[in-house]
Amino acid sequence: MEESLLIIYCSEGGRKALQKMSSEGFRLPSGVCTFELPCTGRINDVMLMETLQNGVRGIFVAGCREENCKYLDGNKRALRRIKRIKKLLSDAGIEGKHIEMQTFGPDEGKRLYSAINDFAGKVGVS
Amino acid sequence: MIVAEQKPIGEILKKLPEVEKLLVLGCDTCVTVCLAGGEKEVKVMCSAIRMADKKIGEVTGFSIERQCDREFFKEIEAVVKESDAILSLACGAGVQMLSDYFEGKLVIPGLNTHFIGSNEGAGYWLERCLGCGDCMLDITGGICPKTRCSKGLMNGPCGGSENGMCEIDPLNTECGWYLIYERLKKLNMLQNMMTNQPPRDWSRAHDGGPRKLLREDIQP
Ligand code: SF4
Ligand code: SF4
Repeated sequence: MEESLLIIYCSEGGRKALQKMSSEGFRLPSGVCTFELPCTGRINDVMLMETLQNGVRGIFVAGCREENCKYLDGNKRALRRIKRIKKLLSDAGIEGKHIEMQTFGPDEGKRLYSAINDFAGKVGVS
Repeated sequence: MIVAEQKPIGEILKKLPEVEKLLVLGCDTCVTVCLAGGEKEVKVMCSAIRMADKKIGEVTGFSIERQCDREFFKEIEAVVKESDAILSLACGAGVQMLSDYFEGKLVIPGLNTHFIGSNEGAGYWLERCLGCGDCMLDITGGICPKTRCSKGLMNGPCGGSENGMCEIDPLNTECGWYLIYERLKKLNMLQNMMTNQPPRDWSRAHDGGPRKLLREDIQP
């Protein structure tokens, strides 16, 4: 658990980008778990904070491109919530815990792969 | 409802004593609705304190129906007894009631209490009442001049009202008396604007210590 990184992805753009990524032969680094949500707008403060507190070092959220959310603005809401939690972590001086969200189109498997790898490097999971 | 917001987390962490057992206590009423101190905020606060580099042995979270009413304290007597200090996520009234009930237990306020207000939309609250003890909303068409007029004028508007906005902040703050004028017009009660309102009766407002309200018919 201590070494782990969690990828939360939506069942639309996020999932398709992940599928594209594996169909192109890119593999997730070890120590990475994935968790699917219908929409990244389902993400909330409690979920993020309790996941980090339970030992996960980093949470990477992959949502749909900003204008492509199936539920209109779930991804924008998630971006705002994540910004708030990042500020909470930094104001509380909590070190070694990271959150990041990026948005992807269904065809962006390679970009998702490099984004996850960059994040894994920053969090110290490889 | 009472509208409050969380103190900055850095300030809370600084205030917390290094105890063995800390209880974070939420309130399920007003401060839940304004997203400052309900069950969810308790969970987030507990996680933040546990992850922050604080020398606190154990952090427990709990939330009760109301902290401003002693009848709800019974259910937490055991958990409070076990705790060395309490971080309360209730309004100022709740924090004080908690400190009275559990005398000898250190209670730290986790919120800044702001006003009596309304929920205007997602994440937006507006002050509506100062608790003046002498309500005049019947005269002013249901809009409070003491609260909504930046100067609390009893007779308005003043010369600083322009295009419906107040001179103290013409971009964001509406002129309370302009709102009253428009409302009275709709109610066909514009004559109320011509009646001179007497100065406020401050003896009913915050004066001479805390105000008390006693109802004899309800007393034991
Ligand atoms: S303690 Fe404060 S926030 Fe809680 S119910 Fe009472 S008045 Fe409302
Ligand atoms: S007149 Fe007094 S009681 Fe009525 S809304 Fe204004 S402040 Fe509150």
